Amino acid sequence: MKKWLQAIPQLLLLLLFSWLGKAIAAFFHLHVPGSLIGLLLLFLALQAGWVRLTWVEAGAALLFGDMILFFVPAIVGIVQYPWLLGAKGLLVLVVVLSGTALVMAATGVVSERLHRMGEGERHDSVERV
Amino acid sequence: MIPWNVCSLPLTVLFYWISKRLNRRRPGLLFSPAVLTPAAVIAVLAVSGLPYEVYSEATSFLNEMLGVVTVAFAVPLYRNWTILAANWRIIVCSLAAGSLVSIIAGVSTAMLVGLGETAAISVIPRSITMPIAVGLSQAIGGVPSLTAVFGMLTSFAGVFMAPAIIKRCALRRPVSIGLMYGMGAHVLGMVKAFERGDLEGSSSTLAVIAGALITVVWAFLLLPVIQTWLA
Repeated sequence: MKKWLQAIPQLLLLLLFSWLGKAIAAFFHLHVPGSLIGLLLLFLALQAGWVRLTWVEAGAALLFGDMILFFVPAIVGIVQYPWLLGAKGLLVLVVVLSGTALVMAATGVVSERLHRMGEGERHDSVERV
Repeated sequence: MIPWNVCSLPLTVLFYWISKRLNRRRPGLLFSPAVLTPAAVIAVLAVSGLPYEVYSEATSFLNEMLGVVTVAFAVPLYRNWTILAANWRIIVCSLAAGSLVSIIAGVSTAMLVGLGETAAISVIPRSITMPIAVGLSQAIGGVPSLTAVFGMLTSFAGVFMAPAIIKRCALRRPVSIGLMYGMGAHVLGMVKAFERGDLEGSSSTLAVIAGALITVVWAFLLLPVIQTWLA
């Protein structure tokens, strides 16, 4: 609790960027979620040095640590879809399991191939960064 | 009569706090707060007869916070920028491949097994981190609740299948393994990747953020195609 109280200024700064992103999305009628624009804005502000890492670091760490709390209402929303618990729910598992296996294999294999190609061209390994 | 519009939020936080403590004593996916807290809330809704709409309205503050969490992802992105800059070609290409596969496989299998159009759209953001997934789902006309459930299942499934995939695909580079974990299993995958090493962890963090951004791009590019295909 104390950690949260101490982080309030940092959380407010993050909230400000979230609002800014939403305002921009609404103003330009963008379909992209406003919070993503806020993410990019904060990133640019950090790169430019307008916002220091120490101003937002602790707040971000706290938010990530308890991220699950924030999507509890969204998960509870499954009560509107009782079919998820029936036979159709098993089909969801099929979709998720097959899809996830494919995604992981694709990501890993492409990365591994590109690494090997990169090492063919030049000898300084990219892994040493 | 219980004033639910006042009590729902503190009750949710309390359940979350209890399940987090419980999880510390009994680690394991089934005892994760992501499962226990919603289960407890659903039990309360079932017993009290409180409609979901009322609960959702009363806890809208938590939804608002998802946007703030999304913004906070700028911090790890900034911190890992040097790794991204040095390996950007590998990272962008493999995440673009992974997220494209995620969208195509998700939509086509969802339609194939007959889950319907709404579920098929909601499945698109399932492989990216929850806060961004929920926002994207809303933006493309999906159901955030369905996306949240798909996303959670994906994270569990990814962590569960990862060791077999690393072996089968003979993945050896730490960056490849990290990207695989981040793109396939977002949050929980990130935790697992950090257990394997720092470079694995950092590249999985990048995969979670950059993978989400790339998925957003794919989603908007492909949405017209998918919509005409579903119709």
